[in-house]
Amino acid sequence: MKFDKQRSFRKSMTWVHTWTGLPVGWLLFAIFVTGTLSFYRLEITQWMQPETQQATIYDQGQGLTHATALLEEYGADAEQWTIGFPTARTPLYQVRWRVPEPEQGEAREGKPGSHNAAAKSEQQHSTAAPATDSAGKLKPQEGYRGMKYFMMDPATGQVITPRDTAGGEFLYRFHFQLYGMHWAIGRTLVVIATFFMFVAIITGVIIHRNIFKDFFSFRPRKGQRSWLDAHAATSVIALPFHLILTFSGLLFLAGQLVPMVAGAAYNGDPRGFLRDYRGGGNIEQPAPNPNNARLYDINAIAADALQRAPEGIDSINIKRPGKADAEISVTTLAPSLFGGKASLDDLRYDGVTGKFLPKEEPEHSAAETIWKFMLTTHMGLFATPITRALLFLSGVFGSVMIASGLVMWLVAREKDRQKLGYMPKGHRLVERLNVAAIAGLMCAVAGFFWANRLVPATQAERGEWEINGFFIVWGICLLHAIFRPHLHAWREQLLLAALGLMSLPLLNGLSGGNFIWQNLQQGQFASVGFDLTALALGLGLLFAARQVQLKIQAAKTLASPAEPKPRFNKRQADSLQEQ
Amino acid sequence: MSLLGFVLAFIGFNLLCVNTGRNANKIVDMTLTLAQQRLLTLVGWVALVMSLWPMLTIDSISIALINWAMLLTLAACTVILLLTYRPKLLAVLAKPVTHWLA
Amino acid sequence: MILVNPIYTPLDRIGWLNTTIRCVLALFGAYAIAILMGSAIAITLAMPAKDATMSAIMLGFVAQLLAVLWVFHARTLIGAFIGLAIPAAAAAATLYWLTGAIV
Repeated sequence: MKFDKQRSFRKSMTWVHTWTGLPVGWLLFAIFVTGTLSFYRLEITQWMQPETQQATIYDQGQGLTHATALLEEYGADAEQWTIGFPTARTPLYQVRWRVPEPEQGEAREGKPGSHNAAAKSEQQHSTAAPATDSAGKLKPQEGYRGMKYFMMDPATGQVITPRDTAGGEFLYRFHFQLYGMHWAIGRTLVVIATFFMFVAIITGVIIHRNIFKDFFSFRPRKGQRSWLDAHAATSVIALPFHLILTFSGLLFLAGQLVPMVAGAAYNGDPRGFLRDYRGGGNIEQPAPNPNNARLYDINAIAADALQRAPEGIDSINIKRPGKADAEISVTTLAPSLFGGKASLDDLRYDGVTGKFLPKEEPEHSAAETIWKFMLTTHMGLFATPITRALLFLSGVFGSVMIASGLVMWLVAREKDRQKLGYMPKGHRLVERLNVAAIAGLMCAVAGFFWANRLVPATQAERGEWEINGFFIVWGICLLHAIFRPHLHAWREQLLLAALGLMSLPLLNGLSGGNFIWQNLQQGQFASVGFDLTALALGLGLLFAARQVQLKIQAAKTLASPAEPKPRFNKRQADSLQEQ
Repeated sequence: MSLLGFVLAFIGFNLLCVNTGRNANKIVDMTLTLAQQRLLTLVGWVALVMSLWPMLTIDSISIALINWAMLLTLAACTVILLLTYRPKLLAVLAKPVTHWLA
Repeated sequence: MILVNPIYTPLDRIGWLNTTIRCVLALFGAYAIAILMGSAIAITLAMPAKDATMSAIMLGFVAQLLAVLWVFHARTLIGAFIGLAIPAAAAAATLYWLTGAIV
């Protein structure tokens, strides 16, 4: 690119698009794939705890009563109770309580290695049957910040203790803060990559000639033209999604990249912004009331909440149960832009009288509405099953967009390589990184799920083992990509990933979970969805592997022994020319 | 309701792509005059925008917008796959339009 | 006049140096634009602090994007530099004038 010559805007933008896309493309692919999978992180965690698939989830109406009874028995002196309701995404009750002493709470969110703190603190040798202590009482699992919890079968009230797992949480945290480094470093790397992505998307839209004309043409099997069509089509098809998610990604991590801007209006202290953002620490908390009072009937509260929010209940949170100033807050499945972290609406009740306490909605500015809209869309917590599936599909499109861009970079320079007569080192590096970053990552994901089933359930630090499985497979794929010829590396890794993913439904049934038809009968739709999606993704990768296989065969028939092999290094090419 | 939105978006995209010269031959057997092209483009865009309306009847504006974006994605994906691999199907679906044009 | 007669420096003519300088400008200069203009917007908008900050962060990122696009489209290195320097100086001046400090 000759920067000192006059050039069109389009030409400059093409250069920018290429050189913001390529350097971070490999990292961005990983971010996109783990992010897309994170839309289903609850379902993934369910699948990775196959003991939960043994529960009979059809609630006979007694589930809430069982849950409350558990809490009264184990959490009588807790300062907070939470009952997570079973939904299509998580088929069991999650019964949580927080004890007043905060000493176990050293695993804070965001600190390194705190993925699924249940895996870290107080190692429990979990089997399907819960462990009991000497008095015959059940031993609860540990959560964040002093939370203890049980998972409960909705139909029988039986407590289920599944194996520790890194779960979908690992993929989710990798998505925005990577792994193996301090969270601030990981987030900084991700936010820089996100900004590159933002520039790449905008420049991509700028250079896309006649966005509807090209959009509707997809010409397969035409070499470089087809790659360009695929790249353009997958970008434009889900363009609103890509724009919103990239920009909201910047907003999420703005604290990493531009904390000074956050602090500018708060005398240089960004924490002031965080306080304001999370809902004001200015309200004075009244002194807690020490008098005891009977907690109002939770079933009645749940019934009333269901009337107000027919979408369903996500969870019930009870502050200071058993005291005179108990508060009950029901998080419903009704979406709400300003509904706190989960972007779900919540209803407040008085804990003793059961009276509904209507909330006054403060005015929200346009800026805040836009901001919250972006973040809510990104997290997708409000999404119905269909919307969530479409978000996932858009994420798949985005991942294909990045992958096709990376491959297209090489394909577009085929002519230059032929003119040169050899493969430049930079191109060879891109080849290897492409295989390792794209096919290798898919192998690593399959390896992660396989590790979940191969590592014994009673193994200590299971979560770490699963994560190691992820990175070890990825590392092997990198080595494989370095030493194998390009197309062969592609075919073999795509095949491995395809087989690894397609075998997951079978593995599910054989290793502690259920087969698809069994899960359907029991209503474990989360696991059914997981199995079917793994199958579909595996089929897609198999198709890709087949295409590479065809290409290898075509190349074999084209190249005759008399023709010189097209790749040797510069030294050999020069010496050949000198002859 | 969402189905109605999908149908509208689908029609919208379809009409838009009937228009572009390269694709026109795949779907309709006749060449369109400039005026007809412009009309089809206009109706196509209107249909796309109108597909937001059924989404608004279900949810608040923000959720409706997100669902609408997802819907457009799905409709566009369907159209592009049909156009590439089964253009005859699109021709069948566009029959009433071509009848009216001829 | 400057559009017709762009001012080239010897640095412009050395291909790899030209590209490298622009990359450095885009990486650090655009970032400085984001911070400076973002902070300036945050303190000058007539909204509650929370809303002003949100607007400032969003607009700051847009400014950073535009700065990157400018750096790579400007005809000369001087043009690229001035295109960043003027908004940055204006923002810095606003910050200094209103708060007595730049960051």
